[in-house]
Amino acid sequence: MNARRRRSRMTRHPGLSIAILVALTALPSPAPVAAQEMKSVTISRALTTEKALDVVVTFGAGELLLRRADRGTLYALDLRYDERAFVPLADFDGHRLEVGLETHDRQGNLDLDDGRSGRLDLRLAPDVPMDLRLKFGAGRSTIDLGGLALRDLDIETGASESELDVSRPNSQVLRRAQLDVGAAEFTALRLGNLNLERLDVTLGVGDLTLDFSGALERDIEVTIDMGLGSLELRLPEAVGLRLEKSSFLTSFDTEGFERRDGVYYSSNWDDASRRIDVTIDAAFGSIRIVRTP
Amino acid sequence: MRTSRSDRFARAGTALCLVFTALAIGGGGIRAQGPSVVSKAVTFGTDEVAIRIERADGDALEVRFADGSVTLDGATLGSYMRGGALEESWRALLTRAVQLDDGPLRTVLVEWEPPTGEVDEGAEIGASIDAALEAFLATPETPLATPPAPPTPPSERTVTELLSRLDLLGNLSALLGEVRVNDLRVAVGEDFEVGPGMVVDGSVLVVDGDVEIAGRIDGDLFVADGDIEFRSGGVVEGDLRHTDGHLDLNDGIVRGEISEVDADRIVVDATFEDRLREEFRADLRDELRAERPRPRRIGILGRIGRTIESVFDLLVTVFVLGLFGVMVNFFAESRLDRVAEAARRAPGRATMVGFAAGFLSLPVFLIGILGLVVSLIGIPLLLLWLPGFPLAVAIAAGLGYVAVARNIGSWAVRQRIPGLEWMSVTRPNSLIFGGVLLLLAPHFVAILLGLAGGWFEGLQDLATFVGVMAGLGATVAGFGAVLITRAGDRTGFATEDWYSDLRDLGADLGDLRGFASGLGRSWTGGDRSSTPETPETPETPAPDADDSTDTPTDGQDPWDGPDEGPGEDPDNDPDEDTDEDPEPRGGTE
Repeated sequence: MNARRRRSRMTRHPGLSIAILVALTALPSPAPVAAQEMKSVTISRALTTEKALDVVVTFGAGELLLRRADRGTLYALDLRYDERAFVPLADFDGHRLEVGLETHDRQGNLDLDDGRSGRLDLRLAPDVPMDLRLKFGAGRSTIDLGGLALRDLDIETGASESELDVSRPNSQVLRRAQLDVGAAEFTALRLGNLNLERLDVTLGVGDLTLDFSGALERDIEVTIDMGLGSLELRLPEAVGLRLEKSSFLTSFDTEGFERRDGVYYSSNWDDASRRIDVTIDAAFGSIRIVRTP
Repeated sequence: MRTSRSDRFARAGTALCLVFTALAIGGGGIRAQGPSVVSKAVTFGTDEVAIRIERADGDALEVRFADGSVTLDGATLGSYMRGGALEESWRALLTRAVQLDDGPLRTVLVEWEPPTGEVDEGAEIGASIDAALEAFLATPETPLATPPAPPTPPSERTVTELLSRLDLLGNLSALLGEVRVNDLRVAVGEDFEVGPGMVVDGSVLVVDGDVEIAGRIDGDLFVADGDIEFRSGGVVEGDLRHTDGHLDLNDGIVRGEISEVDADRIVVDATFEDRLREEFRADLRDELRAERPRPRRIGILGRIGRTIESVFDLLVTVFVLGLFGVMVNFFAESRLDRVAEAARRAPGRATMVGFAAGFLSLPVFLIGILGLVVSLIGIPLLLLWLPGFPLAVAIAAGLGYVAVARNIGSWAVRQRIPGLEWMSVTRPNSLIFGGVLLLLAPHFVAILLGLAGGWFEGLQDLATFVGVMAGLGATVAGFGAVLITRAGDRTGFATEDWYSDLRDLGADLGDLRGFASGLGRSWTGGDRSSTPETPETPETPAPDADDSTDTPTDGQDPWDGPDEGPGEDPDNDPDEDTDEDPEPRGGTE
């Protein structure tokens, strides 16, 4: 998304880009990439009297793992990074935990296999009511929110390959979750366990898979704003689906749906005990609905 | 909130299990000596290995080996030998510590002994760290006036007592809630007293007994069927929950919540109400945030709108640049002619000079500032230099860009490109506008490709790149031409000999006088034979496409024609240049 904005800005203001380039040519060339200086940090904190936790994870680039911690632990993390390329974040003030890695140089090339990228393995307290905000730049992420007591969830990814799973039900009611996916491959599994009321998704470019299996405790309202990419919605057979679609060049197989007033309804919509109401705005790409047992 | 009978039985059963489990744990919650370690942070790096540990009371200790120095809570203890026994031992310790928490971590750190092989400073540092760790972890958090209250051992009596008070189980379940059983100290059927200066590590459950607190409980306090009385200095670090008893807080302090619990009713104090209120506000904020209108998606209509906007922006850019060119043409036509001619006849040289000047402009600017400051007398001139130099560079770059744009417009006319018939060599302003349009044409293409969304991203990027490079090339070459011609004050494009260009450029960059001399020689020196008086001179090689594509229509161009050629330029006075640099051209070789 940001890349698109930057390109658009350069396209729209060529004079500015010329001036910038002229200025850049006048600058000395950057120094060669420095040698690695790997550092690892391990932090843990026991759960004491904390009644809630506000977590902000900012991760510039690399590999991110996030899951629940053992009982009695408020949070624990293992951070490994090249200190020439990254700046670690780890701050806890009693209520708010800020943790992550930021890159020194955002324009540096990233190769996840060259050993220079960062790695964060973060474990968060189970059953502690939590607001989780995750900003993930580039790289790979494996996130298991199972066992966490989420009240608010906001995930923002850049150019990444991410898998989100909710392996256990959320004990809190999650009124709204926001997924902002840039240019990425993003898979979210067992979203039914999130105890979710509303899900807002923005996809720039990429593949997005949303699987709503799990202990679906309530009806869910889903909005998806998609630029260019493919969307796969996996829904349990017993769940009723209402799909309102506004698209330009987007393929969608309507088999198994009834169309009423321009809106698609699954055949079990009227009788289903649980329903998912999906609104999709899409420009280019494909929408695929998969029914799961 | 009323609960069902089955819920109450379930909670009572849970409470019973909790209490029996607590009693089953040896010592009714007896814990290892020393305070809890609630947080640890271990750092490993090539030149750094450090640990920071924090106790439940908030006190922290940090020991850091970094870059040859050892610090304890920020204070330097001394230096260590990298790779020596002390560092190795410390690394080995922290390698173990990183896997441990609380009790085991405390044990490992306390039991650590510095290596015996160390001498002098190393031995002292090791001993200091060892002492600091033991002082921090092995001793109580606050000095005790009297020994801590002995933990209540489990006994048949307490179990019997507890079983005899099954009527309390409902309250116990509400009391205990989510408390960690292994942190719990239990007293049943007896009073519990924390004397002045005494510290109880962990939470305490008292069933059917009174509690008197003059010391500190580092945890929660749960009291069922008993009175609680605080004395001066009495502190409970965690929550206080009680049922069926009287609370007399006096001067005591409870840092957590105070709540009176009933199996069917929970009475909360003002603090808890405040928290509830805050949570309600947070929920309200969440609701409001959820109800905000979502950002609008940019669909095809949006992209069309954005495209129109971008095209408009670009047309404004064309207009501004073109207007600037028209003004230059109006006020300094002859200068513009000479700059354009220099850029056309010697584009390679102009580009190289432009690049070199671009790189040198910042150092020259800074040296100028330094020189004016050092000279003291020149300090007032800084007021002119600071804004004047960047402005001059910007004007020079703009003038060069316009000159090159006019050349491109002229070239386009000669190519008789369809659709550009409105441009004419007799109307220089049309050439300027046309040239600017052509230079920005790739950006137009990029904008139009953007209409297709992401399908032509690659082509869009390529077009943008071409546009940027075209603009950059025009600016750099034009800037160089401006410098060569002294802002069009003289002709300086005479040479097309690349070797001479490079040689002159080297001399130019060598020193400023050489730069001036080289320019003079370019016009008046030994290469004069290769200096064309007109573009059509047969001896003149054609180093660039512009020249090679010269056609008889060149003669129609007012700046290519004999009346405006260098040979006719009134500033083109060989004598003047010769005066500046009487040496023959070969003098620099």
